[in-house]
Amino acid sequence: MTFVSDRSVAEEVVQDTWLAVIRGLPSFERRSTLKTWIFRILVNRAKTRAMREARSIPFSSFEDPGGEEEPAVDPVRFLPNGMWADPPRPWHEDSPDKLLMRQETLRRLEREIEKLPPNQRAVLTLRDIEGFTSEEVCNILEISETNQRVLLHRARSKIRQALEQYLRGA
Amino acid sequence: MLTCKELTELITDYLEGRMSLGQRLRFQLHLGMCRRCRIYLRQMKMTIQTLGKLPDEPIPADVREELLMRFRSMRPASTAAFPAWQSIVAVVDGWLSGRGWIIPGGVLLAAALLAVALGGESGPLVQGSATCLLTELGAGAAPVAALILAATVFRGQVTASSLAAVAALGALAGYLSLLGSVCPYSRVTPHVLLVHVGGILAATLLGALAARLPWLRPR
Ligand SMILES: [Zn+2]
Ligand SMILES: [Zn+2]
Repeated sequence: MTFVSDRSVAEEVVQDTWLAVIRGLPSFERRSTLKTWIFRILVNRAKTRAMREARSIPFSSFEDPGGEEEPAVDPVRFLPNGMWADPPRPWHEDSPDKLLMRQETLRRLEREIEKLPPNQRAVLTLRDIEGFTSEEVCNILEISETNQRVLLHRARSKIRQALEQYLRGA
Repeated sequence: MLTCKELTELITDYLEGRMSLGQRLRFQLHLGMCRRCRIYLRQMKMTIQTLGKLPDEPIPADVREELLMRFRSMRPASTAAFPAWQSIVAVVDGWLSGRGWIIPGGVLLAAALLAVALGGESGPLVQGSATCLLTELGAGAAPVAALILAATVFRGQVTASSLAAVAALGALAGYLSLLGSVCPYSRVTPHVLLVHVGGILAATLLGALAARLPWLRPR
């Protein structure tokens, strides 16, 4: 997933996870859904692995969404009174299917997701790509609901902005 | 009045339903009056929907292979502690999945024919024997059915020997708990031998044969 930089390390983590899932299945309690439980194991394995490897990101920062300001939209696009100076223009592609029809859009989107900081990427992946509820994501990543929402907000805003730039041909 | 800039920062709270009624009204009031922010909201919703439609990343072939291999090598873990038991199970399974069941099946059939030939009050087939036999088979079939159901639901694999074992235990339990007191002929040795011991053996055999059900075959 998103906590380890190297692809082969990520694959090892996935394998480790499946083994843990297979071994742990008899003790699986139905308090959470199976999918949540598996992702939780996956995240924990990835965290352990990331902490062991020096190239990892510091996990103490995972709970903290980051103090510095990350505006949803570049501030230069607003007038001093807070109204749009450079407003968004409607997209020609009016459905996700039309957007994804072009391979280039898909590649762009994937690249933008990869560029997100790990904690934002984790929340975005689980919420919007994997379709977990916010409660499940908090449970999997062991973060508070507020932090989950801040991370989601920053990640979604960045992806929207990237799509906008790409669709404008910038 | 909410500014456009503020709206772009509150949009996730809005979409997540994490706003007070007052905040929500102010947000919607702005949207109602500001076409530019309506476009922004539409783009945000579209971004979210598009993320939800990203194709799944396929599992790399080598990872898949490795996983399957490890998974297979883990399966006998429960019997691994008893190598001798494991080899017995393997022999029994091999035997039952081949034509081995014909021998005990033949013996049982011969015994049944012999009993019919002997007949009479002193023979093993005294009145009520059918009830005894059906109870034996039923008690053996119940755990077999449960095991098959479990294997089907959880997509697990069952072996002929495990089905045979639960069938035998079920039939034996049926005999001990019910027939031991209910059967009126528990002192008639030919009856006990043929109907009860034979019934347990027949249940065991049927259990082993159940492993041949098409949807239980390993995929
Ligand atoms: Zn506005
Ligand atoms: Zn009897």
